[in-house]
Amino acid sequence: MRLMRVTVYYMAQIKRAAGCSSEQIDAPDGADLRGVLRSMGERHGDAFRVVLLDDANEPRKSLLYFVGDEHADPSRPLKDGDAITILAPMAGG
Amino acid sequence: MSRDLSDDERSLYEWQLWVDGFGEPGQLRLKNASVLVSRVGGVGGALAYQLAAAGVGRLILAHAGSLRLNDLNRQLLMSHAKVGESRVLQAAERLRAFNPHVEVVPIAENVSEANVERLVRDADLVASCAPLFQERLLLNRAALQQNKPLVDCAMYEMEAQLTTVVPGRGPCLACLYPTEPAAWKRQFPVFGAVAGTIGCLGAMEAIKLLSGLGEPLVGTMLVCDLASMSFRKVQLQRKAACPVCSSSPQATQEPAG
Ligand SMILES: [Zn+2]
Repeated sequence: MRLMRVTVYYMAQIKRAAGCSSEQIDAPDGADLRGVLRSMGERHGDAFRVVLLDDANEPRKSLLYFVGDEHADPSRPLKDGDAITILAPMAGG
Repeated sequence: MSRDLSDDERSLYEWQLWVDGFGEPGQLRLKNASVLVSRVGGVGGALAYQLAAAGVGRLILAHAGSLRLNDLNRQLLMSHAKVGESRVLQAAERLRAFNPHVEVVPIAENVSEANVERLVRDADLVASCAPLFQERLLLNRAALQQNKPLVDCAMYEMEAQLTTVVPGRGPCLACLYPTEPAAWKRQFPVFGAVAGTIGCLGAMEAIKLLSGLGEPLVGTMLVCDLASMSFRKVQLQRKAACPVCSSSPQATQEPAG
């Protein structure tokens, strides 16, 4: 199976949950954003998984996902070298 | 409505009157404008301070409660000697002393379902700086209904975000957050300098929108990570089925097809 490598950047509260600000992920060629997010959920353990994924194993709608600088749905196909940003909402005033 | 600046005002605002494309017409737009600042804590306090400095004619400050000692690492309009006293009255007093040309209207209430329409009605622009999504989403809805721009400033730890909602153009806060994000807590780690940074950037958005300068962050979010000093802009998408902005007057006025 051919693999592609993507980089994931975490912003705000999800950075704490992930324990790092970015990481590289190898995913099967042609994977979409949902697939990569699910595999990341498995990789980090339960405390992180519940922040990222809901009970139906879907990426949480309360997080914002970007591929490059574009807002992206979980169905967005990815390609080698993509930079994914996961932004946890913040309301600090 | 004022049609002229006084000699005192020309002198006070001299350094910004030199800004290319601003001048007296821009200053008059600020003088005739009214801005609602939702909470004058770390972010809203810095934003209100800059709008007072810039000469926005009327600042409506909405913030309930009394000053706590642990507010003082970021709430620059407050005084150490006034712990236990009203936050919004201290903020108003500081702003009036700083610029007596500005009319400051302190309201000792946080934005709520009961007061949001009235608070937004008296303003030309809304600055959303509250520590709760509930208040931000209420302001978003009322600003859209009343066709007024909203500047949303937020912070967490060493990060901050800024975006601007202009009715009929680009997404609104409900497009981004269809439901109130449950994980958000009212108390969070932060430095005052992070609050001040995003408050000043939000003030710049307000000054631009009111005076017609520059390009506001419509459909765009500025994402700042002060740990690495990285600032980037990401593009936001409007949700076609957004229950808030797709039913606003502007959206329904658009011709079908
Ligand atoms: Zn919307």
